[in-house]
Formats: sequence, structure tokens, C-alpha cells
Amino acid sequence: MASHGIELNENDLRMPASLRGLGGKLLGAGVLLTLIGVALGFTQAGLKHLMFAYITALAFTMTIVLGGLIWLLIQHVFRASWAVAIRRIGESIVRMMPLLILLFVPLLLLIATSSPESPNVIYKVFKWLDPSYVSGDADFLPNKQVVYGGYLNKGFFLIRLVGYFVILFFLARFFTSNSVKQDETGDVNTTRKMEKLSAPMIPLFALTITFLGLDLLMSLDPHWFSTIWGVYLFAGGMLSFNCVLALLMMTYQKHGALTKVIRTDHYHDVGKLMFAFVIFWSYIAFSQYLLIWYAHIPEEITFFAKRQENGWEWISVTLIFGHFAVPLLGLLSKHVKRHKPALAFWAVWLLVMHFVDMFWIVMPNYDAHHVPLPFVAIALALGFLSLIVGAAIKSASSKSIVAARDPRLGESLAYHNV
Amino acid sequence: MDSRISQTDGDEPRWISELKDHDDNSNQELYAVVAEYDTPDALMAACEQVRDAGFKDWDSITPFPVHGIDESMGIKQSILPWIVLGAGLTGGTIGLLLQWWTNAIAYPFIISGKPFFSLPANIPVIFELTILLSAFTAVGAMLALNLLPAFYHPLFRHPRMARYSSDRFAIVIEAKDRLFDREKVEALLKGAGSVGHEVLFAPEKRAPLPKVFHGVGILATLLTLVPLAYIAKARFTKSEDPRIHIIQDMDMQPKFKAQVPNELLGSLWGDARASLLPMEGTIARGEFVEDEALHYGQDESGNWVTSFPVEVDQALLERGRQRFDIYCSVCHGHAGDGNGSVNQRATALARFGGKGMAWAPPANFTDPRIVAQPVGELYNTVANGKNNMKGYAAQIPVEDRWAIVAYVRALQKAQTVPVDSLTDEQRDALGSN
Repeated sequence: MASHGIELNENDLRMPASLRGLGGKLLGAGVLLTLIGVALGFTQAGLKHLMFAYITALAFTMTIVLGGLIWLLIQHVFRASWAVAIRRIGESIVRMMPLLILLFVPLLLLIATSSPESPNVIYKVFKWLDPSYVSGDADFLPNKQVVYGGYLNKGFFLIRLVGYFVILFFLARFFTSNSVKQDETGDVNTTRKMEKLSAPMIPLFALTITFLGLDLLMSLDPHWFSTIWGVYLFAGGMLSFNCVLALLMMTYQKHGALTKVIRTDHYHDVGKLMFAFVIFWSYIAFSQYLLIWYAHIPEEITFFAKRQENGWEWISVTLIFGHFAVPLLGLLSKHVKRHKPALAFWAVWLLVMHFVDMFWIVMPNYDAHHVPLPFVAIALALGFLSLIVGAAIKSASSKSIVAARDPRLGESLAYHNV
Repeated sequence: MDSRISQTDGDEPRWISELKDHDDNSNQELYAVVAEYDTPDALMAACEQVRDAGFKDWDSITPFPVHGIDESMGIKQSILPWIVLGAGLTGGTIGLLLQWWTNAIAYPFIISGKPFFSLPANIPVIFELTILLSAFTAVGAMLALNLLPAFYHPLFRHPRMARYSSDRFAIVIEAKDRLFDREKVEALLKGAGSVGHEVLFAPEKRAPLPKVFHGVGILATLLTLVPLAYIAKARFTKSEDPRIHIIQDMDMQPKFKAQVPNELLGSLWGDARASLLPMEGTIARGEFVEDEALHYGQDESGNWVTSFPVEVDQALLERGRQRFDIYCSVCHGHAGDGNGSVNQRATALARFGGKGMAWAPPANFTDPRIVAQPVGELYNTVANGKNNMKGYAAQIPVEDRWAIVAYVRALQKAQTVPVDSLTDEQRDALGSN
């Protein structure tokens, strides 16, 4: 193989000051946008709208960070070498798990401090918190005791969420901090340790994202269920994470970092993952739709019935064309995937579509009779994403920006696509 | 040690000389020059030189894929992706048109209450056909673009060809290239660092097909027509034989069928019917009718009974009201006026475009003709139906039928009683609503 024998020196491993500055700016912009969103919520939109928009933004950001975590686990379980050169960038996002968990805290506080004597707005969001809703809920619900009594109750909910956060925190920390430790020690056993643990952690991750998605998003509509929910969120998250990764790679290189390290072939592969997960997301989304539509049973059809009238049908059609058909044709060509401006265009497009997807999931529970103005949700989503990305860049600035002593780095630096 | 990879380059293996012996003594002409290289880097460098020199009919042979060799050889991007895209779109369109035409045009019937042309239900087949045609076309087009299958290639006679799938690399420049000049080519390849080269000769004409193949080919082609001939014969002739029934399943069952003469029964007692009338003087279990007035609403002479064979009390009337509301009010209305919801719907349809719908309205019980009917006749209508109304004997047990009849009488009375015969209290009660 015509390898190029790339040697990295100290400078190549440091983040340029301009990029670190950008991280700070993004962090600031994130705070500002979040405050704007919250202010809009308190003044114009109303608390209930604010809560739903908050959950939309949370779902948007959470799927991206979790997409990063599973991406990282997959790299380790396959012993993949192509992405070693860019893995540190991906890890910087996953490293922000504690910040993501922090974003959940206002929600958890509202739930924890709510009670039938002093209900707050969260009762209108998570209806099952309200005992009068539960008792008044249709008597024909055969598993009412199980659903409300056993599962959807305040205490168990909080315990579960804390459980997910513990798992996610430790998963994120294990895989990111071991990778950074290897920069010092160069120990091959660190790689082996991460490979070995990644395998059993993947099913644990699958269960965690499934139940987290169930609790945060599916419980907004307590009667409805979909067994493919976890997969659906994983698909959207993996897709969006690869978009963020592509944009971050370009940002790094624009500021002069990783110019020797990242090749066109790396962009090509990230683009391939974006393309693959556009198809995968569409497949899962359509599977979910087809089964529910075909059976048309009253307890399941409500989800899609709500989303095909009163203006929501336009959002649904937008998802069909904007999240599936157009990006599929757009990302087909290998030349698009190897051309940075084109790839950036599709990355931004798909991130917008992922936001629309989360909006489409959450907001009909706020108002099924018309499509609410999205500004609060947009401000919060952009704010949270800025926060996470900005903090990720800033946190990455104190470490090497490449996994310098990973045993597979050489392969990655010389990585060739045909 | 593979005996075909000979140590000395001069000796050619026996199988090659045997091949050459079989060469029909036809003229051998120069086919190509083959140069050997022992590292991929050397090969790539040589490829670049050949590419830059402008040769077109040439190729390189490597035992494993060499990254970057496409560029070194100046090979342009294949058109295969476009062919596959075309095939995929074709497949999707075929899936869509197939389902649209068969489900909405050719043989429409309702499946699961979905529209005839039902796009979400059609997606799986559309998707599958897209993938299928894409995949098959990718394989087929890839082979075709590589001019495969190729049953023979002059390179097979090259003594060192086996090495090129093992640990050596080669460049082959064919003589048919317009820039080909033997000395120049040999010099170029040598100058690019080859460790050896050989000139390959091939017969100018391919050896003719052995005569046997012609005979076998004609015979095989004729044999394939035989099944077609049988099919044509079956298609266009009539036959008295039963059709060939390969998968029997449970189709031929040794049982007695109702409308078919059964030989065994005929031989047993002379009557070949499997469903017989009951024997004279017997009654089937559950068919015994003790009270004919109760069951048939008729007396022995066949006249309709005029009095109820059951006791008519409040309980009977209540039961009758409940049963009437269940079974009868849909058509006859809750007041028995013949304008139940079915009638309303049917008249609306007939008025607004039911295709040639003729609707006979259900009976209005206050019609004098029906008021004059004896209760036995009313009972018979409930049990056995009248005109378009089907009998309800199967759904309504005997007692309930009489309850309904009692209630019908009550409805009739309520709507035909003259106002004067009401007491003041009754009038007030009615008027207060």
C-alpha cells in the first residue's frame, strides 16, 4: 500500500487558539439562545409550550450525544481503524454527557417537586403524573394498573431516569477517559480493554436508549406505544451525530487543525454513514407507520391520526421528502460525499430535518389542533446544541486533538477509499 | 510445491505444451507483451509510464487489489453506478405500476378496508423490486462490463500466469493497440523496472468448435421445444381426462357429499342421496312442536290465531319493547312508523345517487291493513318475514316473538287511539313533553 508515513509533531496535537475561541463563542451563543428561548416561553408562548419545546430540544440534543456514544462503541467493537484519526472529535461530544444530564435536571426537578396538592405545569406535560387523570382515564384500558400503577408513576420514573444517567455517565466516561489516558501511556491494553467492554455495553446502551426514549417521549401520550421506538430514536441520533461529526471535522480543518490527519476518505466515510442512516431511519420510520396504519386499531392509530390533520400533515410530508427522499438522492453520489461544501450542506439539512422529526414527535402532544410556532423550540434546540458543541470544543482543547498513541492511528492516517 | 510454477523460466509446463499441441497447426501471431514486476510500487510506477505513453489496450494483473492503481492506470470511473441507478428506478416503477394496475384496475377488491390504490401498502413491494433489480443489474452489468464470462483468454497459456495470482505483478500490452511496436514496448516495460518479460503468441484464429458440439446443441435446442409443445397441445385442445392434480392436499376426501349421488349409499339402501328426509313418523330431536298456536301462530285449520297464546302483562310488553328496539327499530323506527335509520339512509341514497336503487320502505304499523292483521299473522311475519323482510326465527326465540307482537299492538294502539278517549291526566302527561 502506498503509505505516506505521516509523522505527527507536538503542534499537530494541539488545538489552535482560534478554534478554542470558537468553542467559547459557541458556548456563549448557546447560553444566549437558551435564555432567549426560555424568555420567549415565559412571555409569549406560555409555560406549557415552553415545557414541550424544552423536551423537543432535549430530545434533539440527547439523540445526538447518544448517537455519538453508540458510534464510539461500534468503533471499538469492530476494531475499526478508519476513524481513529477522527475519534477524538467524536469523543469530545460524548464527553459532554454530564452536561446533557444537567440539561435534564430542570425537568426532573419539576417532576420531583410536583404533587397533587401543588401541581405545576409538568402535570400538563406528563399527564400520568396527575392522579385525577389516571383515575379518570378510560376504564377499558386493560392494563391500566400495570401502565400507571406499576410503571408510569413519579417515584419509579425518577429512579429510572437516574439509573439511565448513571449508566450513560459511566459509559461515556469509561470510553473517553481511557482513550485520553492512552495518549500518555501508549498502552495497547487500553485499546483491548475498550474493545472488550464495548461488546456487552452495546445491548446495555440499546436498553437504555429504548427506555429513556420511552420515558421521555412516549409517555407524553400514555395510551400509545410503539415497540420500535428505541430503534427509531437510535436511527435519528446516529444520523445526526454523523452530521455533527462531519461539520466538526470541517471546522477543525478550517482553523488549521488536523490538516495532515483528516483525508477526503474520512469525509467520504462519514458521508457514507450519513447516507446509510438516512436509509435506515426511513426504513424504521416507515416500518412503524406501515404496521400501525395497516392494522388501524384505535389504541395505536391515534399517533398518526393526530399527525395527519390540522396542519401536521405538512410536517409529516416534509419528513417524507426532506428526511428521506431528497437526502437519499442527494447523498447517493460518492462525489458529493467527497466534496466538503456539498457534504456540509447535507449535514446541516439533515440536522434541521432531525429537529423537525423531534418537533413532530413532541409538539402534537402540546397542541394537536394546529402546528404551533416553532421559535421557542428552535431557540432552545439551537441553544442546547451550541452549548454541547461549544463545551465539547473547549473541553477538547486541553487534550490532544488526535488519539496520538492509538495503535491503529497509522492505518487511519493512510486510510484509502477506492 | 505447485508443479506449474516452474523454477526455471525457460521450461514451459507440460500442460502448456500439450495445449499448444492441440492448436490445430494454425498460424500463431503476436498477441501481447507481458512484463513482470515484483512489488506493487514498481507496478504502479510502470503503469503510470504506460498510461502516459498513451496506450489503450493494456492491463495490469495483481494478486490482490492495489489501492490507487485506478489512477495510475488512468482508468476512468465506471458507468456501472448509473446503470444500477437506472435499474433501481426501473424496478421501483415496475413495482408501483404492477400494484396499481392489478389492485386498482384489473381486479379490484377491498383488502383490509384500504383504498384500491394504497401507496403505503405498496411500498414494501416497490422497495423490494428496486433493490432486486439494482442488485441483479449490478452483478450482471459488472460481469458484462468486464466482458465476462470469458471461457478462454490467451493469457491462460502464459507459463508464469499462475504467479500473478500468487506473488508477482504483471503488465500486459496487447498487440492490437494502435501504438504497439514490439521493441518500443519491450524497452518501455523494461525501463520501468520489470524483472522479466515474455512475448505471448496466440493462434490468429480460435480453434473451431468440435463437431460434436453442433450436434448436441441442435439436439438440446430441439428438446427444449418438447415441453412447449405439450403445453401448446394442452392449451388448445379439449380433453375428457381430469386435470393432472399433483399436490393432492386434502382434495379427494372419502366422504358423502350433499348434492352428489354417492354410490356406496345407493348400493346400501337404494337411495344414493347423502341428505335424506326424515323417515315417516319420526321427528328430529329438538323439532317437536307441542303448542302449534305458540310456534306457528296458526290453529289446526291453518287460520291465523287472533288471541295471544302467552299471557300479556307488563313484563311481556317491556321485553317486547326491548327486543323491538334491538331487532326491529332499525328499519321500522322506534314508533313503528317505518322510518328507522335504515329507511332514512336508503331513501337518501336513492335520492342522491344510489345507482338505480329501488327501495321499498318498511311497513308503517299504523297502516289500516296491518292494524287489521290478526296477531298470528304478525307473529308469522316476525318469524318468517314478508316481502323484502327476512324472517327472524333464527335470532328471536318463540317467546320473544310474541313479546314483540304484543309491543307492536301497543304501538299501534298508542298511535291510533282517539284523543277524546284519553283521560285529562293522560292528556296532560303527553302534552307536558
